[in-house]
Amino acid sequence: MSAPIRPTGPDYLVTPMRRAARMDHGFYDWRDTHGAAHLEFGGGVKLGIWVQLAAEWFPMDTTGQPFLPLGAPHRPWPDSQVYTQRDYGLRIGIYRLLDALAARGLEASLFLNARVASRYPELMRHVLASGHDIVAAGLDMGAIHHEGLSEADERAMIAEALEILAGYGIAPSAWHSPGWSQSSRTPALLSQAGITAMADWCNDEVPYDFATGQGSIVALPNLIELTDKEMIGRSKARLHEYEAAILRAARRLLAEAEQSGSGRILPLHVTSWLMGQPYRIAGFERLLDALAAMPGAGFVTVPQIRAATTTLA
Amino acid sequence: MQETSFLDENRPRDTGQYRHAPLRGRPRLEMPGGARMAFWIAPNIEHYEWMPPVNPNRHPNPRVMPDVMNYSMRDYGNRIGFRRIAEEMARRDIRGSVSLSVTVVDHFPEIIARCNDLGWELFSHGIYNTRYFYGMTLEEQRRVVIDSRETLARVGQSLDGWLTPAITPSLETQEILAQEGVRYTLDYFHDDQPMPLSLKTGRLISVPYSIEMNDTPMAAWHLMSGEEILASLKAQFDRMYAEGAQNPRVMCFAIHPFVLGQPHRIDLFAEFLDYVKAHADVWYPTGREIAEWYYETQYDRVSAWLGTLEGEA
Repeated sequence: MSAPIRPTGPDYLVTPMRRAARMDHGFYDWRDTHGAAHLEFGGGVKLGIWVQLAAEWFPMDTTGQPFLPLGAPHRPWPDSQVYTQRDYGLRIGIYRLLDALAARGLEASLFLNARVASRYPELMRHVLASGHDIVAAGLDMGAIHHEGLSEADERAMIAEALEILAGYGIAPSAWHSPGWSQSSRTPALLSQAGITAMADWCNDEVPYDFATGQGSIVALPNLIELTDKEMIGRSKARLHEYEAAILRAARRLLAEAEQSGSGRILPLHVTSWLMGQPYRIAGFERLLDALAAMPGAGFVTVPQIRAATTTLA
Repeated sequence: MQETSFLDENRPRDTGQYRHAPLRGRPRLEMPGGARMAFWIAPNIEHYEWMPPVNPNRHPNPRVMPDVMNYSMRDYGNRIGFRRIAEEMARRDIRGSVSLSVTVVDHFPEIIARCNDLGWELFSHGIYNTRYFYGMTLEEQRRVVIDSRETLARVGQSLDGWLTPAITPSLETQEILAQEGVRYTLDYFHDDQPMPLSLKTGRLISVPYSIEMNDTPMAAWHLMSGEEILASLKAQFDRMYAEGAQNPRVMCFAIHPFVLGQPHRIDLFAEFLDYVKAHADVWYPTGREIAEWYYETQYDRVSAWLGTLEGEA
């Protein structure tokens, strides 16, 4: 039998009703992305392919507070099955992805948990030698940014992540939060820590200006539905369906770019423990080849996206 | 009356609002132009609030609050996805009947202006899609209906149709709709044709919406790939089109700009619309036009037939 209904209480329709405001928060204004030019990559590039290579460490004692991110250990303690399968990505899978990029002379943005860097200096040596762009992706996959943290604790998490990366001489300009989760304070704390761009909000296809309350930060476009995590990990797409979906998206975005005159971005977010598997890696390689062969497509990372941005308004 | 729906011992065993009316032996519906099918599209243009109040019967953000990932995915639908969907429908001369969080009138008037320019119908899907009817008092439910009527009137539309936010009505909701002059409800999924409801006061019909031919259940619950969604739509259309030769059917495709407006799905939507348009004898009404046609030409005939049926009313 379905659960009994509980009354909502007398304030349900009077508690914050922010319909007079443009948006129901103060972070950004409405914008009609399709209506104006925002991106000019130059060199004949209309569609920027932004490869995001996720290097993630899931601590075995991930608490699930406030939620378990996709991929986290969740079985009875000790969940060595999940823990070690994710760790495979940092020992084996990531090299397949790096090799696939290197073989084609392509650059990616590494979405790097700081504790991957602190725990695996050998991997870091190889990553740094590869010359990929680095996006700070929080401490680890158990370190979720959320409203329940005190401001001091969240500030300390960001500072520790950046300090670990600084130990390798890395000063990232861009950030991605583990589990795509932010508190309402995260953007301001990132801005105060010197971060100037973030890739957590998936509401646009071109960069835009995001008011943190402590200065502006650039919201980089991201499409979570196109990630291997979401499509293969959560929605159980088969590899051929994933490849077909990415290529359909690429063709559509490219056609719109040509029509509108403004560039478009296709984020291609791949995860070492998913796409780095031997039976999937050829799918990634096929995608890279197919995308590289599309006239008007070119591979970009954060610096190129920011340089191509003609307006953030 | 007021608290009836909260009490377990008063639970009825069916809605009591329609009698069993089997397909076999029904009078044949007569559609305009001798059509064998009415095909209509219901874009759900919604706003999911940044920090909504928590309904004790359904959490608006089960993952975490605020939920940047889910908020921004849905915001994408209004910033980008809507434009894609509207363009593909306009190109094929198919109007939408919008299941509208009526506060979109306040937040995003550009979207409303575009809908009006295209001759689309707006009907109410509540205030926000984060203010569920579960647990509201009947007086609060009525306030939402009246608010919807007044808000739609500001943009030149009458409130004729209704879909309860997240489909969370109580049984009394349908009574309130009839009392407030709403002409058709989409909350019930029991038929392929419009049907009169038996209410205590007033007249109301159900019009077939769909929880099956609906991009969100397809993608998020059944984890269908784009190809599977397209194949399911074609199969549904083919069968109903064939059956419509005997007795015309109503097929609705319920869509969400944040789901179907994604770059990897939009071209499949366009392909399905082309497929439908390649068939003769299909009528393309709005929900309001279905209700008008039904009340004017079918309601009395079908009601008379319903009166002849044996069994529980």
